[in-house]
Amino acid sequence: MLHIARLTIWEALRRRILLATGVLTAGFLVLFWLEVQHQPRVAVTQNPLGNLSVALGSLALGAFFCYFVIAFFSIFSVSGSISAEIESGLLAPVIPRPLYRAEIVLGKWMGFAVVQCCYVSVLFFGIVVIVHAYYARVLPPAPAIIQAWALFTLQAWVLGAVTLLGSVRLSTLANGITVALSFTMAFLAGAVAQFPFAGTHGSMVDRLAVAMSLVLPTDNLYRRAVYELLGGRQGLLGLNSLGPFGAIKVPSMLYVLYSVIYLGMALMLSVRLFARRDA
Amino acid sequence: MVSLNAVEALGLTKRYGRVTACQGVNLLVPAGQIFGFLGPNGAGKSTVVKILLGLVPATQGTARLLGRPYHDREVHRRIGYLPELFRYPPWLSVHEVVDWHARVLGIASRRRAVIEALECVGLADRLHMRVKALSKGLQQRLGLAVAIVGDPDLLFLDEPTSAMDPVGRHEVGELLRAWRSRGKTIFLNSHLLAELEGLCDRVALIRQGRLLYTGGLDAILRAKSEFQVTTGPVPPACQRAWEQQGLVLCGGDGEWVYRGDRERLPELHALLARHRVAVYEVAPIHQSLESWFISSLQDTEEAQDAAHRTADHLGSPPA
Repeated sequence: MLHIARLTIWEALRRRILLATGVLTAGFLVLFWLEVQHQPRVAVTQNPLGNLSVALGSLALGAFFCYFVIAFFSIFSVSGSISAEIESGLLAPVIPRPLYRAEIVLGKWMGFAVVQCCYVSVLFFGIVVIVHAYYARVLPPAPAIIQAWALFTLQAWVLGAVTLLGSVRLSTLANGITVALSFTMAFLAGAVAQFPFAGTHGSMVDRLAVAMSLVLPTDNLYRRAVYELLGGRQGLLGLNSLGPFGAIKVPSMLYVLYSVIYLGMALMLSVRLFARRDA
Repeated sequence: MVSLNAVEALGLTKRYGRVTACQGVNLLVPAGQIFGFLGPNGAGKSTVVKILLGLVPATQGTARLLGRPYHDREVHRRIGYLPELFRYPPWLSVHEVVDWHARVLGIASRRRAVIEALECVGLADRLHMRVKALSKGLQQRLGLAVAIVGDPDLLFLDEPTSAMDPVGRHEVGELLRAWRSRGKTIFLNSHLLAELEGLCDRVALIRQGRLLYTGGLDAILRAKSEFQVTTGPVPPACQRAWEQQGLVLCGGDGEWVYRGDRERLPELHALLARHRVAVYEVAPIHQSLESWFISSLQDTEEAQDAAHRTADHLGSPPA
């Protein structure tokens, strides 16, 4: 399994895709830094609440960008892994080696997981450092930041596992589009449920949001991460002020546990499907 | 220890819905031989190889490789494979590709094994070249290096020289002969029948997923009982005499082809001597693998047509 993981990491490091991603991510962080730097700020003594609101908004904006950038990185880096490699003949010399097919699938996921973890760390801590440079007091204590980072990492891993599952059967393009649309739908369902009237408990919107969060639990992970990142601040200056991007309804830790189980199930299903697939 | 048979396949069948890629294929490949697996395009050759190597799950049937069940992953440490359609990561170097496979095989003296494999295929001077910079022929050499790294006992080669120039083909032929002389078994899929003719000990012919023939190559090449007879002038009385005796000779002007049993050659010789006909040479005419391949397929086609006609006839209502 480690041989495959090593090859996957090696590929990520060697191919130009990492260079392109690195340059674009650096560009993204520079733009985010400019956005934070040029926000209208007034003296703390004049309007402390207004300043806090701006700072939290920056942090939430950073988290939202982080959520989407990580998702697309996870989806598009994994979408062409198995089907495309079978079609191009990359796996033909590998499968007859003394490796179980499960090792190939799990090894690939492990390799992607390491790369995703590194990418999430760079992006997430880049945003945190930029916000910290201007609004040092806004950030929550370190354990909460680490929790938020772990949730973003888990989100990347879940999306990686789902995309890997899709890649066993679907072509690169079909898989990428399917997972990206499912991800967007999960976000939209979660976003609508944040509106106070639409998302009341038991309403159609609420049930739809719950159903979508079970189909793809990434939205709940994002909202939980935002909750941790904003230090659990509720009310008009906290999670409530962010509208569809916030977390008026904070997903419980049970959802995080569900995501971990979901991740395991997606990997198990990938292994089972790949075991039956012609190569 | 190498088993007596390197490959034993029993009833290998692969179906895709109503389409049958191969049906009840039984194969026996003795260890230490070069085995040629022949068949027209789409006959099911690659499917059988892919089943044996675990690339395609069989619908039915079982097999043993080197005396162990074919799905036993440990036996795959002793097997090398060059697929027909393959690609190596273009961003890796020649050395890195072979080294990765050597790592997976858990070879103790990996560095030496990798260099040896690359030397065998003539790529030792291109160690650091990227795969994407290699020509098709050189990529096929790299594929061969990957297949032979770790000194496997059984090699599966699917069209190993299809992209190579004549020099490359000759070198591969020599490599395979050397491999056989060390007791290794080679399972060869190829369309280049002239090459196989000079290499194989045994062949099998598959068509429409069914095995038509399996046996020694010598038996095929000698199967055609024809002899080239070079003589001096033959008087008409002599020709009448051999016709009366039921000997079949065609040709003329001293160049004849005798079609018949080898056992009747002394009879022919005595007849020619009686008529004072000078005999300069009697030589067997060998059948080429290609002519055998084509005639076998045509025979099967005709047999099938005949079977269909009989079935139609039996099935049709009386007039």
